[in-house]
Amino acid sequence: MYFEFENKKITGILSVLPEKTFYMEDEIEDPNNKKTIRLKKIIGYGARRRTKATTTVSDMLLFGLNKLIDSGRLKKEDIGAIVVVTLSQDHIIPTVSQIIQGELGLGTDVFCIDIPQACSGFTVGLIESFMLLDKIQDGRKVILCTGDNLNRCPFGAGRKLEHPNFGGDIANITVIENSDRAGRIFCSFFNDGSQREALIIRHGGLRSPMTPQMINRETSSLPFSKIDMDGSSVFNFVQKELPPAIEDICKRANISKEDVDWYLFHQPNRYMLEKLSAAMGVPEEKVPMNLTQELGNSNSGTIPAVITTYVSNEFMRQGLKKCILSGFGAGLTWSSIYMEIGDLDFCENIVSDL
Amino acid sequence: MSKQEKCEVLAEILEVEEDEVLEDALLEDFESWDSVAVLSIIAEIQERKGVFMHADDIVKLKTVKDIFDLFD
Repeated sequence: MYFEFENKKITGILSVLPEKTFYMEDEIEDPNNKKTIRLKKIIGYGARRRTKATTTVSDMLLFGLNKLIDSGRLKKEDIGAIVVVTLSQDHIIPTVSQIIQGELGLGTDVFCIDIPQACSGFTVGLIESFMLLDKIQDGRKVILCTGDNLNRCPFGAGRKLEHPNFGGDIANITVIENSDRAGRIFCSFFNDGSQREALIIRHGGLRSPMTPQMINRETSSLPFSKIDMDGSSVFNFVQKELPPAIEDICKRANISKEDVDWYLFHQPNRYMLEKLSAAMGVPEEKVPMNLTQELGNSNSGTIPAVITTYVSNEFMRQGLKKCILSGFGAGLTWSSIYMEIGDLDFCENIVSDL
Repeated sequence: MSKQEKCEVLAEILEVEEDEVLEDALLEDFESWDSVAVLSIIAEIQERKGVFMHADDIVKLKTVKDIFDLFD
């Protein structure tokens, strides 16, 4: 499915980090295991952030939103819709967006929606936000909230990990609004559900609820989300589907790959992004790729975290940049957006005590 | 791809000297024959030949020659 939008822009991005960094050497049972060392060197893993075991994504989002409101960078009355893309719900119901609306004391006419998406979460959330902005009549903004904290490890806390874990806990707030001066936006979304088993968190839903054994603190070393992944299928899927999808979106936007200033991708690991850049024939300097080894993979939170971590200066004060944003992974899904981003009101990481 | 090139590529993936990459050597005897090596081979074949292989088809191979044959 293709979408095109006009008169919409991102005005600010804030990423909220937990204060504690975990290093692979400390987390894993046998840091001298040759495969672990090779994983770190070749695939690119090292450090990640994890929240406390009692923190939820709504806590992180509220921490960030309150900072924005207290500093005058966001006005409560300007919020027209809250779009939350996360897998880390506080409860089955109510939704995280409903919790945020209540905690911030926003008007009852604020539209609230949660979208459960992982690796393509940011691009899917942007498409949803643009569609809402098309219909919002009173000039209010959409607040896109992304990120996960599935790594808080409530079970088997304190135990060393048998295998390296690359997940990171990050939450982000992106403010999007209508603007007469914004350039045209081109989006695509594809999904191949027949390959869904290639990347799956199998347990915890109704198909396969958590068993007492899984949640036993003494016997289980399962993090909150144990991901089963068919690594070579996912690798092949990215190498096969992404380059033509990005060529396609460039063509629709009538722009050459060389003219794109930044390729802002979901961050599975550095290795996969190196190979993707090579397959697309774009220089690695235009593809930030170190997020997973420095902060961890936060699913829907990776693309905004890449922006606030690696290109915030450029996006604050150096004019509009031509950007391709691409999310890809669980589904299996791949979604790309061409848009200009720049002259943001804010673009930064803040560290919380969560 | 020359035999010398194949040797260089596989030696780098397996983290050994080129003279250790003998055609009849068993893959399982290399300490670095693991999922990272398999993924590196998949990437190498994709880059050079545009063919997408699955890990299952590489894990079942026995010798260095079996890998060399894939590079052809």
